[in-house]
Amino acid sequence: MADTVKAHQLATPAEIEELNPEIVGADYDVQLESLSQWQLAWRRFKRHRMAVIGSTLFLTMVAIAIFGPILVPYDFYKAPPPDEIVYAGRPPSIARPFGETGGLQRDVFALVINGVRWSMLIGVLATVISSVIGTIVGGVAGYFGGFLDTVLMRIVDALLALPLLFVILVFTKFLGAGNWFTVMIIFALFGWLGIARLVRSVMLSLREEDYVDAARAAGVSSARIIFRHLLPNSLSPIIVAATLGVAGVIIGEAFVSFLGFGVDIQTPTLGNTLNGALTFISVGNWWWAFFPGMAIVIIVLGINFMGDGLRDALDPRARI
Amino acid sequence: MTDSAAIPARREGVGDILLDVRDLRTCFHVMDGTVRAVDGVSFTIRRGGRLGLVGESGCGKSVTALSIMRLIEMPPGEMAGEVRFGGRDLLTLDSNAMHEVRGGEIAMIFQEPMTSLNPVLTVGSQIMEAVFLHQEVDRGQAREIARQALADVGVPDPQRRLDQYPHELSGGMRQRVMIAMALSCKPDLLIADEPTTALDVTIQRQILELIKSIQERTGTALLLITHDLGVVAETVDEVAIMYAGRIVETGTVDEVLLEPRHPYTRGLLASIPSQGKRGYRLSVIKGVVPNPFRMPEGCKFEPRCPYQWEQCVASEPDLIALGRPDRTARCWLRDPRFFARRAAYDAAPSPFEAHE
Amino acid sequence: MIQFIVRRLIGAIPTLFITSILIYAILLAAPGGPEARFAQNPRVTEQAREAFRKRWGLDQPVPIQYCRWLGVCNPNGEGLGVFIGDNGWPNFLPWGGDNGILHGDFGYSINSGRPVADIVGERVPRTLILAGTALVLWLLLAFLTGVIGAVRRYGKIDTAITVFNYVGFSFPTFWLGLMLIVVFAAQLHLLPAGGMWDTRNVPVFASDEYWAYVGQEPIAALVDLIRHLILPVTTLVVVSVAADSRFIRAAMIDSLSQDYVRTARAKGVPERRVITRHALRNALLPVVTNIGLELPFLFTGAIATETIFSWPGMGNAFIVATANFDYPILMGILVITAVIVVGANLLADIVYAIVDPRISYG
Repeated sequence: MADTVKAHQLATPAEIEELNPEIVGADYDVQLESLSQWQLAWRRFKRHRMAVIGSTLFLTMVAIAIFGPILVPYDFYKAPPPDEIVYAGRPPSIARPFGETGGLQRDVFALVINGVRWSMLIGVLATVISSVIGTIVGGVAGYFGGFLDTVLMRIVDALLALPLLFVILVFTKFLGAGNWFTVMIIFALFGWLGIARLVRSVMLSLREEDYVDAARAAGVSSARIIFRHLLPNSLSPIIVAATLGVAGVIIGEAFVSFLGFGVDIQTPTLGNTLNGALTFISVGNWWWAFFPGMAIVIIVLGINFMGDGLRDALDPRARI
Repeated sequence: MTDSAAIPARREGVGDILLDVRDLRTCFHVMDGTVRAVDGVSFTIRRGGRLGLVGESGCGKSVTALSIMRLIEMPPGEMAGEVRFGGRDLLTLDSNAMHEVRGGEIAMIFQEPMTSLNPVLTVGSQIMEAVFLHQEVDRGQAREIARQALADVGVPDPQRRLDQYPHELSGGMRQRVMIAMALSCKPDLLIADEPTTALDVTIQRQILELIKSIQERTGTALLLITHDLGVVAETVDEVAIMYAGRIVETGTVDEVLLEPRHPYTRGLLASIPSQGKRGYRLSVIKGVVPNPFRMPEGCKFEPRCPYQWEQCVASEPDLIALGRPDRTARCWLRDPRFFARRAAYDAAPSPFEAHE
Repeated sequence: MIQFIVRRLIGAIPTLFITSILIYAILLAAPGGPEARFAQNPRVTEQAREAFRKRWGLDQPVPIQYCRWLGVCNPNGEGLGVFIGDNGWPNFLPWGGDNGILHGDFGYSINSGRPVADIVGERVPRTLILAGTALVLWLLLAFLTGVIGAVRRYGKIDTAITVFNYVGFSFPTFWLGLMLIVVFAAQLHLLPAGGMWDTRNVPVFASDEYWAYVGQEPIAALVDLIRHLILPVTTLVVVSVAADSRFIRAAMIDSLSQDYVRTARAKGVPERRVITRHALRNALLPVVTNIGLELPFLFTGAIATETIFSWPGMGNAFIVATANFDYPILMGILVITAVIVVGANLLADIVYAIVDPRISYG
């Protein structure tokens, strides 16, 4: 008590602090976890129900893609014994969980397991490549602006005016030669447009930020500014767009191969597996069309859920 | 400014209690727990009266205003207590009746005039929307009321402005439009939530003068929410200081600002830079506002208070009357039992004031 | 306002120009070219190939071929006279010449010999019926679900809508079509498995006999059309609603959290009007632009649907032409598509400018 009265008689806060360091406005024990931006995003992602479901689905399919064909290899040359030929293909049974295709009577299960691998591979590779190209083009256009920007964006706009699937169809038919790698490259060469536009608009707004001026004033080179300052900040929308892009390529490749324009059946993808299924629907074969398509749906569903979760987790305006 | 039908003349019944807030509590259930944004706030406003609600960011003053208007989003939010207005409890009113109250009997203006108006509708149509909601008039009459309202708030060439869009007006002009919109339906109470914070200093003065003069002329009661003690001194008669969701001091403007009885108020006043303090270090209130999820057990201000002792840590004081019921402070120093300590507070120069 | 439109129109020309160059480059620069169809066939003599080349102007340098195709160069001209039409006016003017796409001459199908313009003209309306119906339906559904989802955020309805959207969005269009055929046509025999009209009873669509039929039995004709439309339209709608619905929902949520919505509520505006008059009006702005950007995907979806359901429209023609290396048709369809897409984007820009008072027309 005596101490405290004394505290009141002292004039300066400094002296009060000396005598009674506990009394004068000790900062209340505020426990702030200082997490990095990415750690916070991961925390939000984990809480997002759909993101978790989506990731599980996707990772399951990745596991199938990697290990499936080793366990269930696809034998291209296997033909059914003559006494077992059924034109429409046999329905699902214990021996053949997904049934047989019509015509050549191939095992749908083996086709699906192997197809998952190649479809996902094409999807991921094409998206990675197109993301890189798109980021570079969009980043450069957005950062430097001016004439370069106008020219690049005119080209992008002109290309985007064409429905890409039309163009991809033509390319894969004329150039594809059934090779999965070529098909993948074609998808990559057309996929970068959307990302370029996205990155450009992000770059346009980011380059007005004060820290860019500060860096420039300090003499940092343009390239360094782009790569060290602007790109990390624009990663979030790129990641989301890329994730959804994989889904787009998988579906796109499936359609192109289904039509017979894409990958040859030597390399089974979920799309070329479906080639021909339409004609056998009328003779009652529904399983041939159903299972490969369901596989696509599951993969894409997983990707979409994940993408949504990523978008919410990486949202710069999110609070906890 | 002309006398007009749009903004009515002084009412009768000046002096009766208009708004009686009793133990209002508003909390929010968020991921990490429950935040008690408003924790037992009570005050009254009389007809024609002017009350300032003062506090720093996060003390709950805006939430108090939004709670009165029932503009709080209810799933995360939850309210308790009573808000008596016009003979009924607003918190238990059904939503149709509440729609009538909002705008018609209690009007509110907000802090950000730049974003508070709908950018795709003309100024006139937005004012007229308010008029149509609360008055039985036809289009022509509504337009005239709107035009008059704009004239009353000092907008030049109101006829033309009615057809303009918000982005064509400056910040100060938009705030005038907001005030016109609020007052066009002759409400009994105007709640102004930091109306000048987002404006330039010169415009701030104009807007405050405007609010004050309209309020005096029409007899509308005023609840002014702000963090700026200077604004309070010029515009209202009575003050309530808020901290951590509670009111910690009440009284008339003179009483509270000249003789602050709560350490927090004293700290606020001391931290205002002024001519007399030239050459001295600016004083601050040490520490930070408490973490809403981990509030102190006793007095909420205790961790930052230079006068605290064990009593303050142990339990939270109620609002203690200082002479009359409307002059209170939430501080143990005001409790007669601790008279000895209070003498020291009253006698010594405030430790917050810098002497170098 | 007129100024704005005119400037936008003029701005669209370079884009279309570049697009046309790209189309031409893509198709002719691809190895093989129009002669690829003969590459495998040993019976086609060199003489026949030479004649083919001459006939189709393939012996000229590529820029000249492009120029002729565009309609800026006169096929009868030589040297610099190539730019002047037969009657002395510059060839690219509407009255200057009669060749090239600028004059509506899209060439002739290599396969059937029919003028491409005729084929395209026949097919475009059919695609528009399919795509147009789908577009209207899915926009309506998207707005409904988007607004409801935003207003009742995280509620049961919102969750149900979200799940439906995600699942629908994950179906490949062509596969969904296949499944619908399996269920409704093959198994249940409720709806036709393909085509646009019942070939046994109804004349060819848009032919004179067809209109005569419509005159005699309008209800039957309409029912026939609707029966054939149901499955393909459903396919398109299910897959397309999702994206727009999510976007509208996000735009609405954003709009509802704005300060002016709070002001409107403080004025006492009933909640329903807050949603429609204040929030939705503002949310419409980004949505309109987005719809404009989505038009290419409308055509993409149409290809898949037309293929599966044998709908005799533009997409179907494109697939067949690709399989047959029928260049003129391919190029014609691509040009028409590009024009429609650019035009629609232009329209979206104009609508946006009208609706948003903040855009100045200067």
